[in-house]
Amino acid sequence: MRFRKLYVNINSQCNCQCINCILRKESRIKESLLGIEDIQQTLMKIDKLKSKYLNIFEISGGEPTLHNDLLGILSIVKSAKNEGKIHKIALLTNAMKLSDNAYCEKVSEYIDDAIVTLYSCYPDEHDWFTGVPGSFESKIQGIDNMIKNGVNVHIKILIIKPSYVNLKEMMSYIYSKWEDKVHIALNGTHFTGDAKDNHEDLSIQLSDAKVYIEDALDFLLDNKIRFSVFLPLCILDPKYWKNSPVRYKELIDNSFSISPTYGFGKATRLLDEFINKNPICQNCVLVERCNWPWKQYCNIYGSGEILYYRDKLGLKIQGGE
Amino acid sequence: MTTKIGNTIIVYSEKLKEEVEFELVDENLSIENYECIGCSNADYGN
Repeated sequence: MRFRKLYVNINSQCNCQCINCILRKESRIKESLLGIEDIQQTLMKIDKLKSKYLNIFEISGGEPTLHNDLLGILSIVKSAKNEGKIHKIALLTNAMKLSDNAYCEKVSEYIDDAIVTLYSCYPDEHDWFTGVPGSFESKIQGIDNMIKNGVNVHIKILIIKPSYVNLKEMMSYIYSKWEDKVHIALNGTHFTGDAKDNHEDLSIQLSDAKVYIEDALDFLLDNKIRFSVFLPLCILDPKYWKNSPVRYKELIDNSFSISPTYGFGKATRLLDEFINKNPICQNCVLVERCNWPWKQYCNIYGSGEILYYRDKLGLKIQGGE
Repeated sequence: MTTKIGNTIIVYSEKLKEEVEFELVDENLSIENYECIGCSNADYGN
């Protein structure tokens, strides 16, 4: 099966003020929305784009659960799914509103998957990231509710300065809560929007985090927790490479983005980050299988460590450069 | 030193203390297990 994604930003407002947000604060304050008609038009456009690819309809924001008509939108998309036009419905959410189980039950009727970013396993540290006291407890309850309601939950973990030394503790916490019921995506940070402005508080050189990342991945392997890595493979020991995404380039290359500001188009930012690789990676044997947000990271740290690990492992294709 | 044979990479793992095989194109792996569906906001501003 081949997939593509429809990244649908239905609103811009958010109930958190995460310092690593890839949107700027001003764009989160000024509300812009996609309504039911916009979603209907999107589905009609998709229907005309006949393709061998199955559509994953991924709804995000802002925080999509703040959209007044989220359930109406989900109902339409679910109808399209029942007609075979959509393969899967996913929701990118901070899960805080889903701590209300009555609301969570309604949302869960429509969605297959949810993606939630967890910044720390320590409430105070987590809430420092979000700028909202109590956000950790609400998020954990929201995740709990979704799992109980049958949603396939993906927990996104970022490699960031304040919490990278506690990565294994985070995995241990997740396992203690939900065992192997969640999938974990370990990601590099997109240093754009507010995250770019705050990068000195956020960014850590990946080679400095390597030992902590690998300890955390060993914990996941030992406990049979599903995970994916969206980090430069050359920095990780080959033991973990099999957990890099398969056919991700193809997935992004065939995906579309829909938002109130930009309308319907290709997922250009993701194409720029994940398809148009770092020039020194073009000659790496892993280029088709290694996916991470390299551009802003390399603007901060350069490409020296990538070059070092690439050459140490002998990954350069002969005749390149 | 890494060796490439077709779509298979043979590379030494310091963690495992042995050479391991890595498939560049692994049709047996399901993308369901590995997809990143967290990278949304595809048109976020710089």
